[in-house]
Amino acid sequence: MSRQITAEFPFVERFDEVTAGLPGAGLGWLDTIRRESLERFNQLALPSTRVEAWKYTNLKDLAKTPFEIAGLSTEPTSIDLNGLGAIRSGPVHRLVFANGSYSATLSDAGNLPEGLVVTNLADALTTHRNLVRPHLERISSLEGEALLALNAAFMMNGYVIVVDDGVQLDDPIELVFVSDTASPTSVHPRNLVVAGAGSRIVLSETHVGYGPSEYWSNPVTEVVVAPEAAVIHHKSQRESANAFHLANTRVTLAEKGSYQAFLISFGARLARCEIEVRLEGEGADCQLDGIYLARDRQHTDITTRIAHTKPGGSSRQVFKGVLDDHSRGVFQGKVSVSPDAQRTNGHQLNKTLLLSDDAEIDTKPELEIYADDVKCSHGAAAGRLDEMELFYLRSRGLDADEARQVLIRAFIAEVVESVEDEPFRDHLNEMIDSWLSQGELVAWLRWR
Amino acid sequence: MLEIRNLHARVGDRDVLKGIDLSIAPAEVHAIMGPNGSGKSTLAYVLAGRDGYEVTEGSIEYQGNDLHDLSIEERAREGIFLAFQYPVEIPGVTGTTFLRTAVNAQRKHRGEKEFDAMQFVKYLRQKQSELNVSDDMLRRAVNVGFSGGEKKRNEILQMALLEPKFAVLDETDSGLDIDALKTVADGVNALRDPSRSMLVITHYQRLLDYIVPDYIHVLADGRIVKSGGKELALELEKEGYGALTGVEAA
Repeated sequence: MSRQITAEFPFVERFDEVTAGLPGAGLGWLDTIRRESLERFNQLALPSTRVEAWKYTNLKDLAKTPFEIAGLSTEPTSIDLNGLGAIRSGPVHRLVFANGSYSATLSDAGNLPEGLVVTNLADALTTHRNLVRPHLERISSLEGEALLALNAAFMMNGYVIVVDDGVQLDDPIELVFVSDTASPTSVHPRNLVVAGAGSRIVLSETHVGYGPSEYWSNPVTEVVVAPEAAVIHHKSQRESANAFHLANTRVTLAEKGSYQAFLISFGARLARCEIEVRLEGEGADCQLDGIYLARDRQHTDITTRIAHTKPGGSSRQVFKGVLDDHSRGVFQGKVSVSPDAQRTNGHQLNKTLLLSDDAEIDTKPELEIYADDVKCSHGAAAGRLDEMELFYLRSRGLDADEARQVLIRAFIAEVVESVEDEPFRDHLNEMIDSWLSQGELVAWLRWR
Repeated sequence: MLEIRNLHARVGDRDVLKGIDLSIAPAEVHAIMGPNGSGKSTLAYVLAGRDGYEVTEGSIEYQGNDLHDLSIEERAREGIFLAFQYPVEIPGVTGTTFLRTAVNAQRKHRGEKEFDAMQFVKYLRQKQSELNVSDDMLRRAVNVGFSGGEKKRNEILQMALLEPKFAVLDETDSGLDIDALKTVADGVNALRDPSRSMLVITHYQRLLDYIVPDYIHVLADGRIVKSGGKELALELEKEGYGALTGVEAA
């Protein structure tokens, strides 16, 4: 069996035509990136399950779908942002991308402090070209990554956030990607966050889809954290039932830089969130926490790689999942510690609750440690609801369904409680509640 | 109140209860004693309706009705309460919320108006202080990080709030020191009532100094081998189970 899956996506065939309408068309260096990336994608093709990193996630259904690329001048027709739920009151800083295009009407950067730029890639290629270029060039040249290459070839509008040294904003910057297409469409947003020394920002990113049509979202996000800067990144993946969501996030941390991410992933027919964090300065810190929920025949994959290359760094990952019906979960968590990275603290935990006999989780924690003065741990567990616990609750008068919901909530609680931001925590609980109840909410289970 | 006739029960592929007859009238407190493996906890679980505990022969009548067809939660709402030997920890759910839900499930079943949060706290306060259960304990998740004594007090608090007609206390004394035991026993005794019966399951005689039963039954190898009044406890203390069951002490 080959290591490649060949796919013939219509939009790839029409490269010249399509890219003429994409951000930065006409910029020689960007054209070069696109062309070289296309070549690389054509050589690599999509990875088959023979490729170790894709062993548990099969892209053949994606490959079979005749994806086109999103039309670039479509303002969304029926998108109701209110349906997303106002996460909080207070100042709004929001960028909305609909079907691959930046929506000026739905976006509102709001009042930003001096030294904080919140814009879209197309505009940034004009206003911040010299800043953006090296970042685009670097990720695009990473070897062996077909989806990154595809995104680089067709990169579309995404968010660009640039924070000057020392600038801090506690208000979350909302980044919304909405898909509402009538036929199989792909979007390839390219996002960039550059946080200057000592700066601090909070990002609240949502990917949501409507409608029965298939679509494919292939976002690539680069986050560069300078010394002593802090980036907090919340992400909700709520794509529609027939969507493919394959996201790639690459983070680099300089000394004492910090990246705290929280991911909740429960939409899409096939979702894979790949996060790579490189701790490249002393004393850097990374926390990745998340929840994945799946039912029916959903497939959800969380693949993380944390690389400690300098001393004194710390990383922590806690991912918990709930799988029902015939769903399939995958967790691949790799922590590598270079010989120089003494006094590293790296901890990883993955726990999955299986609600049915046919649900399945493949969990693969990996520790690759080359330094000898480190504290690293990893844990992986999967299991059913505890019968004794269900019995206890029912013996107090709760019916079987209520008892299950209480216990599922209890299982997820640990991760939710680690979110410091209260409005986001409330929002998380609402999303979890609605997933649990599929409509009829058990009212007393609301947290507050 | 409770009429058990020729009860046989199986757990997995093991026959554990092999013909139990027991009659409990309202207001009575019965004790079940017996060596490990005699089926004491099995009897408690069968009464509560736990999955995997199958009645293979005989019957259980509760307030004149066959218990067999009632689910676990239906039995609870009909007034049967089981105080667990090892109360379960439920992270992520605060004590107060959990208690209110349990109480309201019952009230709804009885056609009574459910308590809102404030009403419930008022109702709770009355019972809470008697059992020395602090506000702090109830603000925490159910039983999480509780000591053995705290867990048992929480069980009795639940009993006080739910006001069952028939309560089974499964080795309520296990893991408790004397002071904790006294507190729990006081709580149980305060719940004695003409319309309420209790079945106290215990391994050691000591609990029965504090919760004095009307009748004691000795369970061995799935059968009641002897019944008597409260003096039977002292006899067992002196002679051990072996004398009655014909089995050498382990």
